[in-house]
Amino acid sequence: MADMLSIGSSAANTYKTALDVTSHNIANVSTDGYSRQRAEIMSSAPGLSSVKFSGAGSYVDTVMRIQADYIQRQLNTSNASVERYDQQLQLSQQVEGIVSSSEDGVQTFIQSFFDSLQEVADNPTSGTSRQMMLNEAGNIESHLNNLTTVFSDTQEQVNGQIKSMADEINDRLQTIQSINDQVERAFDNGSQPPNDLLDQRDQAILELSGYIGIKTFYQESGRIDIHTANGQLPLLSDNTITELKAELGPYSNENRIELYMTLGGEQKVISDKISGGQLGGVLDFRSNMLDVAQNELGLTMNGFVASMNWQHYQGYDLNGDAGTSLFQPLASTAIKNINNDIASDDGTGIAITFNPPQPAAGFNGEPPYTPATQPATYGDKEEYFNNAINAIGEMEPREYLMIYNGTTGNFDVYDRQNEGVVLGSFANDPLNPSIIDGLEFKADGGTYAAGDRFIVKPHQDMLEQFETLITDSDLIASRGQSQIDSNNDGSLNDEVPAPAAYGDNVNIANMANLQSKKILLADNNGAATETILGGFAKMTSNAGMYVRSSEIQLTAQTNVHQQMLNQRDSLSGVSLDEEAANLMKFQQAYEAAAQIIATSQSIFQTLLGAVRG
Amino acid sequence: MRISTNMFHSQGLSAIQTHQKNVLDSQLQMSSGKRVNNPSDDPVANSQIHGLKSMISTIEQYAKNGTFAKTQLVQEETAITDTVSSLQRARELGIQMLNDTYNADNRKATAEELGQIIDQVSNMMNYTNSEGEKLFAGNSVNAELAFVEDPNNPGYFAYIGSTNAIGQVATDGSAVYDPLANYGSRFVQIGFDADNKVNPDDFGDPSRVRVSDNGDKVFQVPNVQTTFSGTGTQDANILNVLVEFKNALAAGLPPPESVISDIDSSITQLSQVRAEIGGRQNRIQTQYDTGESFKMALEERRSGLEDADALKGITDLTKNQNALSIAQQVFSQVQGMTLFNYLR
Repeated sequence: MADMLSIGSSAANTYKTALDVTSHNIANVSTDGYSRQRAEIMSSAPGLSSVKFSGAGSYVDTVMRIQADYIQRQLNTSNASVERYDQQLQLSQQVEGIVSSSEDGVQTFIQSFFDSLQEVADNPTSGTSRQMMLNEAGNIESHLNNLTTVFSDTQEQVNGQIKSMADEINDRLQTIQSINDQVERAFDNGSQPPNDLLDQRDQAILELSGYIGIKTFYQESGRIDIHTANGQLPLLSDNTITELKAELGPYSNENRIELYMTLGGEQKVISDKISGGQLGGVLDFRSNMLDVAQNELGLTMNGFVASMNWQHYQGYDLNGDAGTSLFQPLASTAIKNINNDIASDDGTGIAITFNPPQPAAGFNGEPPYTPATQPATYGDKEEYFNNAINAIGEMEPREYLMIYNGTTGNFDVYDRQNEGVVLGSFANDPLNPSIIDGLEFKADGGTYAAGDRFIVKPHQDMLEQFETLITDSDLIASRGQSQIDSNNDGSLNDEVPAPAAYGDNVNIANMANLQSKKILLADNNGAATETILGGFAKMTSNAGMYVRSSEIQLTAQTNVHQQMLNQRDSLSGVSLDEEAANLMKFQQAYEAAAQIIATSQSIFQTLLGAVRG
Repeated sequence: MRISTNMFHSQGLSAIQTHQKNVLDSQLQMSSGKRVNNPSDDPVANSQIHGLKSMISTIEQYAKNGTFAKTQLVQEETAITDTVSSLQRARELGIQMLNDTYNADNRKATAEELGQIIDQVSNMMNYTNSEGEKLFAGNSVNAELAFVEDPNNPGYFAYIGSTNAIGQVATDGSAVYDPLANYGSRFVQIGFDADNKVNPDDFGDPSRVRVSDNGDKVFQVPNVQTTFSGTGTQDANILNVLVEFKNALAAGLPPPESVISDIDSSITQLSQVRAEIGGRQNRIQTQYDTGESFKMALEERRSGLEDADALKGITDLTKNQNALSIAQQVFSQVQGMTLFNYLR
């Protein structure tokens, strides 16, 4: 049975609570992830015994948290995208600045080297010009060394980032896990939802989404499950954490950290299944920019080294000896997978070199030539050289995966990024190598088991191996083939290879001319599409394209994210003006409720006074 | 739409940050003078810029090659001019000596002067340039001499590429005969080459200019009339004609008339070579001029792609600066707006 006093006191209590809620809102105006709360005020139902309809005052039914799950989920997604592209942009700009600066990039040094070749062609007997050329070659070498250091430092940095992000993600998952427990208990205990705990959990999840793209699933119990963005991998399922592990990849000599997860009792590499967040950004940067830039730069350097060396083999030095290797030729060996059969060889017996096909079976010899290994005629030698130039055109900027095939006894070769298509195969027999993508693959006939996996990175290896071998400037093969046509048939192709006169510049002029010759990246018809310097330009443009698209994506995603933040703020954010108005409203209501109590007391006093007479 | 207090903050802040980045970008463009500072600024233009720069720098290298070739050709020209004036003196002497007014003693005396001329001409024919290279030994530039004494005919001369030089040795005892001296004059590249290849022959390419010559061809007397008195078929070079001339005078005899006509045809031949060398220099100049105007066109394209438009840059910078200061002012103004100010 409600009377004025109890109505008054319930109202005073109600507005006291409403004022508390308002104060709580004001107190958290700048708390990250806070959702504004509202006291839901209801009127009390009349008592059952009451004969006539009469209200019983008011009470606070619940303190509501104003929030929408769908906004929160979109916020997680957009946050993951922003963090991803931000990370990509930062890392790729760092590499871009070094790899592709238009002023002092590799191409500047290569250009100077070709200029120095021209100087030697002008004046082939000048010791100064010849020494200058070797100095320019040395400059390329030191610049490439710097670049390689930057690449390996960046690789280290990426490794470190992946490790620390995996730790960070595991930490956040633990935080969410413990909040999940508290939330579940709170729901069990009472009807009032644990508003601030829910905010904290949403905020922790939002922070997690900055590290990795995620999907959330609300459970009946009030708990939340978290999977990776594509939904394939559980991170927190049934409040059990599946930890991320960052460890060296299966090709351990590669020094590349990969992410592992134990699924169904089996440890699996999941690096390629992660997208979004800083971690997704770092992984994307690594495979789509860092690896690509190194392979493209390495391909250009492979083309440069092979073409220079082979043209150099065609000529003769000042002593009249055939040209030797001006630069260290490619010598790449395979890296084994740690899961290979324990009895298998470690892959150092699988060698990848640049060794173009000979013009005919039983061909005399391979360069660098000695008098005994010179081909029979100048024409044969030129044909061999042309084979080399064509092989350079066939090179592709990729890494190779080789799987030992137990049935055929051959190694099947795949593009490492695309295990679906066999590019070719080569026998486990040193006498029977194969040429794939212009490179020679040769196995030593060692012990291998079916399914053994190896990888090889011929282009990255070239960057590390690049070295000028010639130090004595007299050994620069500036002279070309002798012009003497012994049988006067008008062609030198049938002549025995022999050096031209001391001051001849034909070979060095031809080396210099390789600058303008398209020799790289042959199209389907076998016609090369890029010059050596064009190869660099292509590499830098591709790098620039990656940075550019990261930048555009970042801008777009930041806008989306801003939009989502606005939506969230609009719905859940505290407005001080609104709270000020509420403060006044509830204060007045409270004062009025107090007045009810006062009035009820004064009525009572009046009654008492009347009785007293 | 409901507006929460945070929205004022975040919107104001993000506006300021956006404008700050724009100011920074404009600043970089203005201070570097470049629109494309990194490949990502314009990846497509970047690739073109690389191509243009490399082409420009190659043209510059061709110009340098041309300058070098010119200095070589000037030396060759000097040597030939010198030889021609020596030959003209020899020709005058020849005509004088044909005159009956001179007696045997006069002729013997003249033989002395002719000996000097022979030394002078042989010196020129063995001309060594500043790099220590023989100008007239084909590509055998390291030969000790381009024209050596004919071992079978002492007093006469043979080109090192001629079979008459077989048997002659240099001061270090090595044989001087070098059939390669008959081939392969040196070519210097002064322009872009169609197939980017030079073949081992004596013909060169339109993109290249010859800077050394085969002395045997330059100093050869066309349709030689003089009969040489030694054994075998001697080299028909102008030096041997002069030697024959001198021998006649030294014996007190008037020179054979064929000597005069041979000197005449040699002077004509040398003048032709000189004109041809002048032609090569002209080609270098023409190539240089073409290269320069081509370079200008390329520079203009490069500049259009790479360089910042100063006017646009200044305008952008001012615009972005204004936008930034407005955003900052708006931010501080909006911060003052709250209902609490009126709750007293």
